[in-house]
Amino acid sequence: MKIIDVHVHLTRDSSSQLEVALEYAEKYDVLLCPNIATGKTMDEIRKNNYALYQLMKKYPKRILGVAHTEPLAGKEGVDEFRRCILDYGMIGLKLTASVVCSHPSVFKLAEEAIKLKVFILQHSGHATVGMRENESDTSDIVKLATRYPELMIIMAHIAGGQDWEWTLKMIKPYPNIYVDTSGSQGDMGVIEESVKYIGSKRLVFGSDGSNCNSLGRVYGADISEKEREDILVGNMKRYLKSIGREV
Amino acid sequence: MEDVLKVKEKNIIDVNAYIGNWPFRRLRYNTAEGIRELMKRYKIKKCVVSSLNGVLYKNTQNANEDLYQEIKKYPKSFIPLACINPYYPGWEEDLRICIDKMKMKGIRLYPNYHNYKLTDECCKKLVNVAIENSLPVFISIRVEDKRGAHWLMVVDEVDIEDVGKLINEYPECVFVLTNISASQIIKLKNMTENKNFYVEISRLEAFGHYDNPRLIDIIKMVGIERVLFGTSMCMEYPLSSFFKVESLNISEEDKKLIYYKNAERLFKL
Repeated sequence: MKIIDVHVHLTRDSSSQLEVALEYAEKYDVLLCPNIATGKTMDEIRKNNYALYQLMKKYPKRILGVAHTEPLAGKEGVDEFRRCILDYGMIGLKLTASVVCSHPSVFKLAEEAIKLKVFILQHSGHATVGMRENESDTSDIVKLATRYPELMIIMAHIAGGQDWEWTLKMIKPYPNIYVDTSGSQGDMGVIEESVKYIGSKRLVFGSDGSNCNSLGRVYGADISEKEREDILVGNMKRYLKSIGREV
Repeated sequence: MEDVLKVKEKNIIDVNAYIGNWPFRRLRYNTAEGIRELMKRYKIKKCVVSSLNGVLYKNTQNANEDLYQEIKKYPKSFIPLACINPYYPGWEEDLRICIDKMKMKGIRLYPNYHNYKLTDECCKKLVNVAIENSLPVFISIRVEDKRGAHWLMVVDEVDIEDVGKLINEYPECVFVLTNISASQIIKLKNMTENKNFYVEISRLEAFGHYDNPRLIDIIKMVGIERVLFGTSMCMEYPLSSFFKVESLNISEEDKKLIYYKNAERLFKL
């Protein structure tokens, strides 16, 4: 396997979406770490996570799931997160935009993630035009990282439609903030500047539906082959090893 | 590139390249030499190039002159486009110089940066001149993602309805739509049955997520003969566009159409 992709979205009911993801995974030898994060209620979320668990069993060499839950659901949300990690063998938690990640409802999940030693992948960014309601700004990520320095946070999509220079400079002092390289912005230089500001050890590969842009920016960046290997696969391999999941 | 992609083609034409500066962030490879370095790295034979300075200069002719000086040593590498603002005085003479003296082979428009709409009379006048001179008109749907733009430079994308109206009103003119998204192409296809436009691929995606249309869907929609290879370099990573083409399950002959044959037809090479 050449790539571990931490930011992949699937849906519970779309077989075509799964086919596309597997086609991409086969073509570029990718281990997918997908989430199914479309659920709005805990009932839907549980069904989604269970469906993802079934896919993990069906495609063990290609799919390693990332849990999704709802921060505002309180204990019910935390219990679902625990089930996904402990019973289903998922490797982290994806949070979307039902609430900003500096909101107190996220704290219990952050504490649980620390106990379980898994990351939180958080939808976030810093858009010049402003973030949508309940979308986490980079400053929300920093607040969470400051409150929980032991928590591994992966900021989603450094090239996902944001002022990535702002974000990189803001998160630089926080070693527990990692960044995934996904996004639709083609901006040349984003990977080089990411390595410059936070180092290749804090970067992990993601695609988030912009697969070719994401491949192109990492394979096309003027960085060393060691740094590229860190981003594509090395950092996530080390992370998985740290939680007892050799791949 | 050989490590991850096995691109067989040697005659690739990139129809969407820039030389110049973008004042809001550092660019690399933004000179003729820089672009040629990338062309060598990715085995791109020719680039259709325009001045990035022209997007923000009030008088775009100075940008055209700078581009002319920058690339004149490399006539085999570059096909230059004239950056013209039909809202600004003197553009007719500027365009004439671009065609006759600077041998520019098309016109590049940035309506939302240049303070006019595609449906304005000044733009229609320009399209008529393009028709008279058999020049393709490139319309940049966007230059950058406005979510990452400088706070004083948040510019909307070109209104696709206006693009559709222009295409319908001027079937004799050939338009090239650069940096256009899949959803915008779908909207455009709902407006026109005309075939006088090409789409460039740098903003399209071969895989996508959820049920967003993929590059293969766009090809089926507009016809492969109207899809052009473009990268948006030096603003964007050129390698991404290679991944897009190489991820398609199409024949090598069809890839040739995208990589260069359609562009050869467009520019009568």
